[in-house]
Amino acid sequence: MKPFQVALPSTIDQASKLQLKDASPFMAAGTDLLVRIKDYVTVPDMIIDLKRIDGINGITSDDRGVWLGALTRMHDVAVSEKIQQGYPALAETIRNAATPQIRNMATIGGNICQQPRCWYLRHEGYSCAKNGGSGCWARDGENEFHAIFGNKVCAVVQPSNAAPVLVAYGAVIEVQGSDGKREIPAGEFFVTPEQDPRKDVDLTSGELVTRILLPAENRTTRWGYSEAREKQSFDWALASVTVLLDRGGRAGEHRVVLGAVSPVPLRRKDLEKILAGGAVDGDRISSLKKKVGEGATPLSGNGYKVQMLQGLIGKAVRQASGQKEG
Amino acid sequence: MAMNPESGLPDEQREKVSRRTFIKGASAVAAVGVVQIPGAAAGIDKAGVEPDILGPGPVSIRLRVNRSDLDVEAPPSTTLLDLLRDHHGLTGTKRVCDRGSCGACTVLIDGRVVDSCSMLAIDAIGSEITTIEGIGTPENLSDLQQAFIETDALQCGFCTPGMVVSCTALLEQNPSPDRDQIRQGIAGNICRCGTYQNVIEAVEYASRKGGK
Amino acid sequence: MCWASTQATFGFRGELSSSWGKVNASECRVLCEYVGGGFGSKFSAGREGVIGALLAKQAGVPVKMLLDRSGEQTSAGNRPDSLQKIRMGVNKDGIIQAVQIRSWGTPGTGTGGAGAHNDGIYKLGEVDKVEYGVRTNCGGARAHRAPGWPQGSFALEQMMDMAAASIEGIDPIEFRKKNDDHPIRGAEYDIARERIGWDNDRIRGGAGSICSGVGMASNLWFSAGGGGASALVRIAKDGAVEIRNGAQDIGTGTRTVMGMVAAEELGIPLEMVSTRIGDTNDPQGPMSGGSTTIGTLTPAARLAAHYAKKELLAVVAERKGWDPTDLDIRAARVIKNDGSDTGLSFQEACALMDDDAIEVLKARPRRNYAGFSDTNAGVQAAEVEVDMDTGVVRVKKVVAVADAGKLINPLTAESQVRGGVTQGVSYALHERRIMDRQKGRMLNDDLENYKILGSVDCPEIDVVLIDVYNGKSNTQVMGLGEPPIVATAAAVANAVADAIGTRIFEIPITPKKVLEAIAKKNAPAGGKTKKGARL
Ligand SMILES: Cc1cc2nc3c(=O)[nH]c(=O)nc-3n(C[C@H](O)[C@H](O)[C@H](O)COP(=O)(O)OP(=O)(O)OC[C@H]3O[C@@H](n4cnc5c(N)ncnc54)[C@H](O)[C@@H]3O)c2cc1C
Ligand code: SF4
Ligand code: FES
Ligand code: FES
Repeated sequence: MKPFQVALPSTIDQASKLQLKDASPFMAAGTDLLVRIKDYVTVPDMIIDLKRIDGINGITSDDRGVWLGALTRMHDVAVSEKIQQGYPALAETIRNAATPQIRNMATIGGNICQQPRCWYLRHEGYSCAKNGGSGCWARDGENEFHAIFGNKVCAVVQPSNAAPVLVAYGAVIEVQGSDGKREIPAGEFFVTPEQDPRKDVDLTSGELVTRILLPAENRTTRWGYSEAREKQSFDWALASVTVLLDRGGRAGEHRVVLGAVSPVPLRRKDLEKILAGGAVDGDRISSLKKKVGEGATPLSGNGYKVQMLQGLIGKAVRQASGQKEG
Repeated sequence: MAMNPESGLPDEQREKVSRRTFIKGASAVAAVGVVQIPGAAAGIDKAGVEPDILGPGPVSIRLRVNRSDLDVEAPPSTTLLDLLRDHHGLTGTKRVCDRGSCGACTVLIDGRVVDSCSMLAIDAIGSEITTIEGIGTPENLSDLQQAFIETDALQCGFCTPGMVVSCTALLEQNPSPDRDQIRQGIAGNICRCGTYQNVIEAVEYASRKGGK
Repeated sequence: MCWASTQATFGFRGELSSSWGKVNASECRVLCEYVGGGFGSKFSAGREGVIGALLAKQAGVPVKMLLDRSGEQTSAGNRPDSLQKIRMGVNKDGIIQAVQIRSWGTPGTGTGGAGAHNDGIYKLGEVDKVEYGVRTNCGGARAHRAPGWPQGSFALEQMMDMAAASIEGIDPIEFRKKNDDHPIRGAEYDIARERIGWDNDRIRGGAGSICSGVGMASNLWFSAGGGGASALVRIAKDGAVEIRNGAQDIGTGTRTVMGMVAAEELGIPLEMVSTRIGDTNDPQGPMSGGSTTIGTLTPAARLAAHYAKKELLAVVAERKGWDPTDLDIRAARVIKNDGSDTGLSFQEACALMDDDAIEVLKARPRRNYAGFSDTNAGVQAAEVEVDMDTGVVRVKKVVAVADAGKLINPLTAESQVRGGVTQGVSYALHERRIMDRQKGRMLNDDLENYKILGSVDCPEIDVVLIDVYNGKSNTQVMGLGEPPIVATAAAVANAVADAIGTRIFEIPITPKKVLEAIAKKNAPAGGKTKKGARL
């Protein structure tokens, strides 16, 4: 690791200005950033350590809903009563993520801003669309864990466990730079390679995530979350499905979001429509299974993810509608 | 040495930084040459308007490790693991992957397990750090460490310090965990030798004895 | 002088002296009190060890050489891959007549070490076997716990199940028994069958959304020990007892076991014996390989302890005017052969010495005794659960029945078996190198994507140790490091086949491969899967 300077801003404004000056990266806990620095994927002269900034840590609530400060640790999100009661799928997905150690360190803000895990991207010596070059090594190479949807330009999968669930709950990402605040719907926060292959999230230079809002009106009791991993003791999801039925108690408002199968969390309105068609019975589940792979463009090594999604959607929908594993 | 609540750095060091403001212009040179001057390359503190910028040369870092204060000079880019092992000689904490995937470097920060390889030492300033050396000593083993011996929960021993730290935290939070809870508690600790079942038995043994 | 993490202190010393040039091995000293893990890759000093030594010599200062995780995974050798083709001929009574085996292994840029061992366990009739080493420019091979055996077993044991299935009315265990004449394994099959719940009802063959299955495989090893080893036992006038040998302990409990044998022979508790190992200035010892360390070391330890005790008792007899042949030591008391106490403790006996200490250095006999069983045999059975929706395999339980000769320390012996099984399950489900087909680089040179079984995935491991008095040496020990990993992956693969109703011929058995196998099985007969078709 090449030694670097560490800036310790105490306000958002300071942090923002530091980044505007010379594009140094922000660091929350560093569980992702430090790994990339050690692997010489990023070689910054300076990093901007966000941990001394007040007011962006901890979980609060007001009449708009529950706010997660960007610096809140993943563990604290998972065990929060507010989250477990109002947004249980979020608690569930975070409990499944990473290791106890990482969950104690990693922040929720860092979790949604982390860089994808594509192994080409994380080895020096591979230049591709995402890191400023062109082309994609994974498309013709080793792509077992890569995207099956939206993978033409870059086939990474969005690595955050929380991301698809936040999209399902209609979370709002609050970001702030020296020009002020913006609120971005989670569904628009994650950037597709078609929009800009170099970006993962919709932040401009100097902007950082300050808080995440889980809207009060989207608290949901009928939920299902299913995820497949090769290993059960910490591993990345191969695919996940989040299902919210009657979101916020509004009959017929459903959400289906797929995770780890495309560069951004994939909301599937077509599947939501099938669910809106009537009771969740065997027929409906079969049609969901039939439809879930539609639009997929699997690569040489990841066609299995379509099959996996068929299994996972069945599980998530059955869980959401209170049915037993069948 | 008083701590500055904002930067978490000892006040003394900030004074030095301020007194040596004149070095600022030549910081790149100073950073390489003047390693003995803490924070030589650091920026200035204009009453909180300008943020502290440390390094890349050594700065003085005070950590509270195993209930005593330890001071060292190290670059701010030093991870907590490297600081403990290379600067403090606390080599019980192991490095295996150096990437947060194996748990060999597990220590407690304010009672919670973390991978010390994946955080900067300066981010542990002000916290209570417990390493394996703070849990027990060969002359005075913790009940859990004794249980590891009774149940042969170690083979080569390389993952063992991390395992013991994780299990100590687990028992602290849940004095009588069931097998699934123990498995989850050590899910971030890899053992190449395959001692998991013995570790589970060790935790159960310690738990039955009401120890930690 | 070199502090090394090695499986062979003396071998390391030899490599150092040849790389340093013009330095006699006896002038080099290798120290290795603790190894960390060692599963085969640390037999040799390796380039890393030699380079470190050369740097130190040239610079004239101490040099610390450390491979980081990626360096370890890309430069310190690999367990070779193996591709095998097997044909088996079986008569209608279920007796194997002939087997043809072709195997291709990847020794990297080297040669050898990449064969597949699978023709020693069963009676295979005529065997036609050819092994090829396919050189690849992807890093060298190094030994990994039972080199070549898990690979060989994985292929052959699936063949055994397939052959059994082709004969009406024979189950896989019966088929194995018919073709196996090992005296111990015959009994082991039944123990495994019962403990894994072989005959329980279960949803198998892909009939439910969670399916369960069982599978079995056998193993064999030859590890009674061999080669030179000596031990030095020192009994001091103040009663301190020390046993020394220069070999290393790779986490298998060598240190403890050496002390136990000496303590047993001396008739004193283990706590009274201090054991020193891992220093080439001490008597020669074996490398930790082939599961022979304990089998090689303990006979020397027992001999040295035996003669040291004799000398001590001779001193006692002379001072007290007793008959030395009527004396022995038990529970740290000097006793008469009829069991009566002489009133003298071990400590007091030592105090009778004129000299400061008794020191006895003894070597083991070069060859083992004939004994009646040269091999130690084992059987493993695995129970798995497969989620047919996601392809995720969980190994629920493994029964490992193992013969370890005479057991010295059942606790550490059982740990060895558990460890072998754990690694075997990891090998079956997760472990592989992912090489970029475009640049030939390893993409998972880390512990994130080179996956190793974790605590939640680890099955319940039920170890049954069979104490076999084989008469091979004065301790009758058979090594137990490698045998328990041989059969595990094969047993898991057979169990997966039982659960999903189709076979997977490649490890690791990942969700991807399970889903692909299920899709292939369910594809309409005769119809080829259309390009781009949804599975
Ligand atoms: C072994 C291992 C297993 C893992 N498994 C999983 C898993 O299963 N599921 C999962 O979801 N994750 C997993 N992770 C990833 C982990 O969750 C992330 O590394 C972590 O959440 C990042 O948080 P952090 O605070 O450490 O971020 P940092 O490493 O500090 O930052 C990550 C990135 O986000 C940026 N950033 C951080 N905070 C902000 C902010 N407030 N505003 C703007 N940008 C910001 C940084 O500049 C950086 O680029 C795993 C990680 C490891 C090491
Ligand atoms: S998937 Fe994206 S990050 Fe990976 S090689 Fe292709 S373009 Fe680069
Ligand atoms: S060394 Fe820190 S997790 Fe592996
Ligand atoms: S005891 Fe060797 S890695 Fe765990």
